[in-house]
This record gives sequence, structure tokens and C-alpha cells, in this order.
Amino acid sequence: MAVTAIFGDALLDPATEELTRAAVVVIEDGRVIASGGRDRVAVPADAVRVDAEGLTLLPGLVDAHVHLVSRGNGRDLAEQLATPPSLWPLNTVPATRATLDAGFTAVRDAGGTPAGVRMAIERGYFPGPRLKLAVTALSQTGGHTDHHFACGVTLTRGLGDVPDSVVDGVEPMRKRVRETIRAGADWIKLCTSGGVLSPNDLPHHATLTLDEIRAAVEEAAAQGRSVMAHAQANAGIKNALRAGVATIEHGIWLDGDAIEMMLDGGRALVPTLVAPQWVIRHADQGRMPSWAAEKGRAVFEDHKASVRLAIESGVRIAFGTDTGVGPHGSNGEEFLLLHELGMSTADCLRAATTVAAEVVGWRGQVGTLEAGAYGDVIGVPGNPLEDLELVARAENVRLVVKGGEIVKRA
Amino acid sequence: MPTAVFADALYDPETAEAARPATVLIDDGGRVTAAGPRNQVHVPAGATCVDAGGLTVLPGLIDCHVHLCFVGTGIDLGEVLASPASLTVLNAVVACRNTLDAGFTTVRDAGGTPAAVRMAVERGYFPGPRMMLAIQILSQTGGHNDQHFPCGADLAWNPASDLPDSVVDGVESMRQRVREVIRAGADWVKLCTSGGVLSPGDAPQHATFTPSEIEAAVNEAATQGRRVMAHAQANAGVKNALRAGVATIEHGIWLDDEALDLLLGDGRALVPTLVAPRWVVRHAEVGRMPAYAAEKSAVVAEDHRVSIRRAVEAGVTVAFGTDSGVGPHGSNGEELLLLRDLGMTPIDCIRSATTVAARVLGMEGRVGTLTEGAFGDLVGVAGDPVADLDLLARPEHVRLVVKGGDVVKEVG
Repeated sequence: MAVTAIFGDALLDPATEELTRAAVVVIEDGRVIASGGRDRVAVPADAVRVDAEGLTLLPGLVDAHVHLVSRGNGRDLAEQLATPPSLWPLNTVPATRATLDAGFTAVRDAGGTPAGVRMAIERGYFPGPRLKLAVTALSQTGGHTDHHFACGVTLTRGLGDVPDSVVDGVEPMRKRVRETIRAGADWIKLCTSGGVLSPNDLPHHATLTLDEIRAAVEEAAAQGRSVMAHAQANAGIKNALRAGVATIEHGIWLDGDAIEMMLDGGRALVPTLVAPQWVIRHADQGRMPSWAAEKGRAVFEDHKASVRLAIESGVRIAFGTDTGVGPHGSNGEEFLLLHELGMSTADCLRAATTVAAEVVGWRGQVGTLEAGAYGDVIGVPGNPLEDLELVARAENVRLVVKGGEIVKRA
Repeated sequence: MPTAVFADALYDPETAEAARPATVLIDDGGRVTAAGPRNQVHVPAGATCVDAGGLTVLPGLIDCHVHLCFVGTGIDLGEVLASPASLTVLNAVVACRNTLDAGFTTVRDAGGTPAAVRMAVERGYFPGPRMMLAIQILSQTGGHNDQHFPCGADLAWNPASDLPDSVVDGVESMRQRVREVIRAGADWVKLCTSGGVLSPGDAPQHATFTPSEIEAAVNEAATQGRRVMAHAQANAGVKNALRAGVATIEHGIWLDDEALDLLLGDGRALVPTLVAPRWVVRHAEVGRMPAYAAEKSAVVAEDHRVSIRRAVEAGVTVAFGTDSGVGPHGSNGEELLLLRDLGMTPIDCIRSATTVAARVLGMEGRVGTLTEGAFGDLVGVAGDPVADLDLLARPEHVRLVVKGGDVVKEVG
């Protein structure tokens, strides 16, 4: 495979905040072999030269919480009832394209996306980001991913390669985690509290017992996986942290104790501030059932206060959006919301590069352009440390390279 | 804005006449509003212009027998066992692209493709041809689409949960299964009235399903305006199908005079898929075909050619179909050359994939033609395809593909 050399006006390293002018990134066989100032990096004579004049290069962005099978256009129950199972994996074709176009070259899918999607991308069926998958999001009976409705109907997606999402009891939990790993999961996703979009539960109630969560954490660890917890309720967050969960998703009601537990264990928070915003936007367009709209509006301010507290306390924060609630490609808006709650621009960028990479399990592979990392590079017209808008909107991302191959050039 | 395609020539398969230079005008709704000599087609100001200089354009081609969810690279049982259901569905993304690139803008999918693939193409998730779907391939226990192996495993090739079960026995069960297949989105009902080549437990020389089972399927399909296509290789299987009222005979390896007489009846057609056994042999040569399939294919290849030659000579309606998914998607055009080799004239080869296929599929006037009101589906090739059929036989020769007025392939 040929060597690719990308020549940018500048190269930004989010880890050090260092900006190198007149930079070049050299990629061979999909991996970075050198990056830095042009005067210091040797470019092989036969390299394919990519001219990124006018652009600042930085590592491809990482979103630690997306749902690629969901379209992100709200919840229309009539549409859902008319959706055959096979359409869900096909939804990922435009979703993965839009994700790349927004500059996100690696994502952790928090449930719903079967391993066949990753296989299809790896085979080159269509372009898409690198994926870590949770495959299914596990909750208790009546919990956040129990799609049973009062009329008696259960609206599952019906995909044969996604294990059932509802599980109760320690022994069934062990087995379900094993099934989920067998189905291709890199992460185990549990719901340790209720949520916003679900019909039967409340975000401020804890779900799953401490023993059930512990069983999942143990089983996951036995095969080298970590657990991510949809955890909004304070008690749900603490149960998750006590049981050894690695990442807290949403974290609507953190308190001092919860924050201390997070800091102690080096655990990470994935805020997804943009998700409730999209619930409200969809509700305004009539594309959200009333129960979800009401819950979305009720949690909004508490969520912001909780994440602000986490930022102030120095909790490790990984960038995640819950995209699939909102439309794919809108991921970058989360940068602006994190910034509004007090995060510096540099920390915002690190949240979506070095920090997310470390949290998700891609340390040194993504979120950096050091030698040996994947050749995932984006180009924006200016310095995002001075203007976060440059990474907040897909149209500002002019160049996207994944594994040395150009996947977007505007 | 309408789209105007300016070409060196416009070839009409129906009349076998060419207008030159020519213009095809397609409206916002993707339908042809005018097509003919340039001086007779008024192009409104502001139309999007497509320059097909140097090209002859003709209606987009039609393949009456494909399987979009099968990869077409042979059968590697290790790979089949390691493929999750969702991957099988996603195979269609690549298949749809390659099919369009080869100039085929309409296909009938003969089974294995769920309705969601059509929904995804219609929503613009990815480009693909217009499709009529059979959804599932129905066969009897031990028949062509019973993927039960002696070890006890059932390897449903495409286990997507929105496909009804493929194995059905008995008249009442058949009625219910046909209803399920139609509910799952089928435009056609596909039955296997004989054994086949790629299946483990049957022989292509044997008829499968009883005449009453086939009749039940035909009647049930007709009730909801659908017709039946029959995978029919064995002579008795062909005749059972035709007597029961099946519309199209797929493969037809052992046709005799009586079968040909039945096929000459109103509304019947043969879809030969000559290229399919070739691909079975090619895959076998590179070790990507189980022995049972490779052996069966070697046995039927010559009989298949003799049978199709007789059908061509007898004047049977032959609709173009390839079974692509056995071979790779995009290789569809090779069938044109094989039909010609068996005695079909080049113009009849082209008609089989345009006007004839459209009529057989019940899409007459909408596809396979560029008359007013048809879908704006066309292909452009660098020369006269009647003089050189090879221009349509290979995807690299197809320079321009337009579907519903949108350029989906353009080679500079």
C-alpha cells in the first residue's frame, strides 16, 4: 500500500495543545509513521500527496456514545411499527457516512448495533468509523430498554443477532453478558437507572440490583470487557460505581459522594448533554411521545447542573452524544455545551480525542497522531482551540481521512 | 428541474431503430417526458444537462432473477457459519451498487432479500435498482431451499427475522406461507418445483412439491394480485409448475416438446440464467464450492444449454435473468453473450433485458422503454450494442447509468 502524506497549514496536538505550523502527517498501511513540522518529517518520494492548504490538522474525533441503528429523527411510533427488522442495520449506512462527515472517525456504539455492521465496514461495503460495540443495552423488567407497553405489545427490533435486552437476576445476567460477548460486544452496557425515552420507568429511579451489576462487571472482566452504565438516578450511579462500572453515561444526578467515587477509581463520565436537547426539539416537531417529552424537559436543568459540578470537580469526562437520539452528524454540538458548562476548549478537544481514546480502549490508536496510531485525521479551517465551532458543525470539517484514505473532502 | 440527456444516438429496443443525435428529457418526478431526435425534443431553459456525447443511450436493463443478499463469491461454509444475519442484509448495499454500475436499473429478486432493502433504497440510504421481491424461496422438506444438513444443522442462508420460513409442506400450510410472504412484502411468490444445484439434499432431476401444493400457491398469490415464479429444472417439475399456472420458469434445464408447448401459452416465460452454472464451476475451481454442488453443476451444464437452445428455436418468451448472487453482482451482462451463443439474435438478447422483461414482470411501459411516462432509467454505451453486444456485457463498457433522472454512474 502506498504512503500518504497530508500537508496542512498547521497540526494541533490536543494532548499538548501544541500547534505546529507548516505540518505534515505521513501514513503508511493505514498507520501514522511520522507527523510534525515539514522541516523535521521526511516524506517518501513516492508518497501520495494530499494538499490540505488552509486547514489545521488534528486527530479524528471520538464519540464514546452513539446508537448507529437509530435514525435520530425522533420517535414516531407508527414509523417504528412499520419498520421491518432488517431496516435497522441498513439505517447504519447513512449514519456511518454522516458520522465520518462530521469528523468522527471512531465511535463506541452504546447498543442496538449488531456486529454485522462492523464486519460490513471492515469489508469495505460502505465507509464508516472504527467501532466499539455494546451490541445490546441490558435493563431489568420495566427498565430503560424494556419496550413492553401497557397495551401488552413489546416493540423489540427483532434482530436475530442482537441478544434480548431484558434480564433479571444474577445468574441470568451472567448468561446474558456471555451471550452479548458472543454476539461481538467490546463493551457491556447496563441500565442502572430509568431513562427518558422509555415508557415505563423514571430517570431518577435506580434499576438492577447491586448484585446483578456486580455479576455483569465480573463476567465482562473475565473476557477483558468493561461495563458502561446508563445511569441518571443518583442511586443508580452509585450502585454502578460500587459494582465496578467503568463509565457513567448521562449522570444526571451526581452529588459529592458520587463524584468522589468517580475520582477515586479513575472512572469516566460521558455526559451526552445534547441528547435531552434533541428530545425537546423532536417533541417540538411532534416526533416524540408525550411521556418522553415530559421526562426530557424535567431533567434538562438538573443534567446541566450535574455535569457542571463534575467539570468543576475534575472528573474525567469523555465526549459522547447519544447520537441516534439526535441526527447522526450533529455530534459536534456537544463541544459547545461542554464549553458552556465551564470546560476549556482544550479539555473539550481532549474529551473527544485522548481522553475518549483512553476511556474506550483505543489509547495510542486513535485520538492522537503519534507514530503507530491509526491514520485518522481531520482538517478544519483554523485553530479549534480558538474557535470550537470549527469542530462543532459537520460543514466546517473540510477533510476527513480514515486509515490514510480520504473519506471526505469539501 | 428536469434533466436532459444529450446523446449521439437513442436506441429503441422495441422498434430496433436509432435516432441520432438524440435527447431524452426526464421530469422532476423521474419520468420521461420526451425522447427522440434532438430537433424534436424541446428542452426547457434551466434543465440539468447530461452530456452523453459519444454514447448511444437505451433503456436501463432488467434482470429478472437476482439474489441481492448473496455475495456471489461462491459458497464457503466457514464464511456462511461466521456471518451474522445483519451482515447478510448489508451485502445488498454492495450488490445494489454493482448492479447499477452494470447498467441494470430494475431487478426481480428471486428470494433472500427482505423488503427493508427496498425501503432503504427508496429512502435514499444508498443507490440501488428498482426491485420486485420474492422475499423467500419456498421449497418442500428436503427441497432446494431446505438448508438442513445431515449433521442436524439448519444453515438458513439468510436468517433475517423478517423472512418467513423457507420450508413448507402441504396445501393448507402453503396457503398460509404464501400469505406470510405477501405480508412480508413480496411482489412475486417463488417456489422450487424441482431440486437444484447448490442445495445439499436434493437432485435437480427430481420434481418437488405436489401439483396441489403448487396450485394452492398460485391461487393464493393470484388472490392478492401476485404471480408465481418457479425454480424448475427437472422436466416433471417444469410441467407441474406450468400446469398449475406458474408464470415464469427459472433455469428450465430439461425442457421437452410438451414443456415447450406449455411455455408457449399466454403469459408464460422462461428465465434461463445460463451464467449461473458457469459461476458454480468457476467458484469450484478456486475451491469456493462444496463438492455436492460442483458435481451437480458439472452434470447439468450441457443439458441446460441444449434445453435453452430448443426453447429459443421454439420461440418461447425468454426473459433475461442471471441468478446473480450465485455469480458476482455486476457480472449480469455476460448472460447476453450466452443467449446469443444459443441462437438468439443480438436485438432479441437486448429485448429480453428490456421490453420482454418489462412485460414479463408486469412493468410494461414503465421500464425497458424510454417512451413518455416511463421511468427515466437509461444506460449509455460507446457504440451500437446491436453490432457489438459486448458493450452491454461488461460493467466497464457501461459509461452512463441514469435512474429516475439521477446520474448514478458516469465514466468520463
